Amino acid sequence: MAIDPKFFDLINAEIDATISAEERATLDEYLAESEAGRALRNELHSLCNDLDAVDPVTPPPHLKHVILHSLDAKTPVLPAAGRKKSGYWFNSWLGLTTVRYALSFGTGVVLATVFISSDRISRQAFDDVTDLVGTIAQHDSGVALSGGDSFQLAFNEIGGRVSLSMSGSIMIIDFDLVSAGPIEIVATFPDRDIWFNGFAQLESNGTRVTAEIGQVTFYMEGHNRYALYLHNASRDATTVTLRFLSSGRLIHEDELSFGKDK
Amino acid sequence: MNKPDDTDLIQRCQNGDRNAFEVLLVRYEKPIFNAAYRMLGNTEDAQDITQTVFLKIYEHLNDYDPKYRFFSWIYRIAINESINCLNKQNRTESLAREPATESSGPEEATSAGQQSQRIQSALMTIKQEYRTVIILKHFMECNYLEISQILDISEKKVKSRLYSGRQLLKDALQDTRRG
Repeated sequence: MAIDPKFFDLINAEIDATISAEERATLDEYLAESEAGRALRNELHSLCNDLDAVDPVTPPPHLKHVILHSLDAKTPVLPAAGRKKSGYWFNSWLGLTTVRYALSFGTGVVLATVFISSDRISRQAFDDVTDLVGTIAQHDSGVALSGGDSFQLAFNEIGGRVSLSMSGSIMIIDFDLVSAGPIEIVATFPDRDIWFNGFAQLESNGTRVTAEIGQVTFYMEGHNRYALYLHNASRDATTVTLRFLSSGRLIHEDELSFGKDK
Repeated sequence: MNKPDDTDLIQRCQNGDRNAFEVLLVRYEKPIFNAAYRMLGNTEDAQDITQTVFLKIYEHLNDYDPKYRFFSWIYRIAINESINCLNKQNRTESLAREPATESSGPEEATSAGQQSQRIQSALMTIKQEYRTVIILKHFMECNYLEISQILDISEKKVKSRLYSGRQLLKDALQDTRRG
């Protein structure tokens, strides 16, 4: 049986505690006589109780840090705290796809040079290879990639995503991370046929890198986007282990794996 | 010690105090994230919207009109950004994406969490204008006047959408129980 819209509104007003004494008397009178009205009232009350009982969803712990760090790239409230114009120009310029592609290509050339000498570098223990850090564009803008593995981080200390892909014999591990404080990331690759081939950075700077046989270590803070390049001469399936430490304490350990490049 | 109110914090932000903005962020991150999540039905988009909202606030703090409550202003931005996101992605509103994991314990995962997911799925089946008022009323705990200011519609229209939205949501939940 259809409910008169007037009583439908009164039931809802009762739920929201906006019903007047006069309206309540009218509603009570109606409900005393209408079974359908009482059923609807019960259903709507039950629905609203269920809605009010839903627990809030908790945002991931790293979201706050992501937002705070992204403020750095935005116009602050006060002109006095403004960023240099050249930074804006560079960011806008970097945003162009064609420029990204050109930079990727150019970077490939530069990295190729680095790869030649990095074999020696990778065989020296605890080299600080920060000097190799350059600025590249995202490598998703034209370079053929294959394979793929990734994981997400969502901790108070660090959050974001790490992914692995292959380009020929080069393994590319892409880090897009934001941290609340200094973080040490240790990448280990026990396979002796794999060695450190380079490191590139986008959207940030200041990451420090050291490399030794079978291991590369980063030291980062804030919002960092960078890529680690490993040469896998055999292209055999392998696994890279990544450990994330804050003040020497292990926060998370994970692995990235891929199959043989076909 | 009393917590600083929003007006004080906004003034401090306008004077270049970034710590004040961080306090606002801590205060409103969860409500904004929740509003976006309830509007969009997935945590990834909710994160993007939350970030966008706070960046917009940061950039446009000087545009804030103090005659309105601060939360009305930022909820309005959050709702508008969520609607833009829905429009951009050309989403079919009747299709709910996989809801987020909300619980921290096994009990939530088995009872309250499931109930929450059923409600979220049903919410995604009703039209966006009804969903919006239900979210503002029941999840953001806004009253009619606040909802009317956030959505820039009359209180009469708020009531009309809310009452109809409840009926639609009730029917949708009954459908899911039957289904």
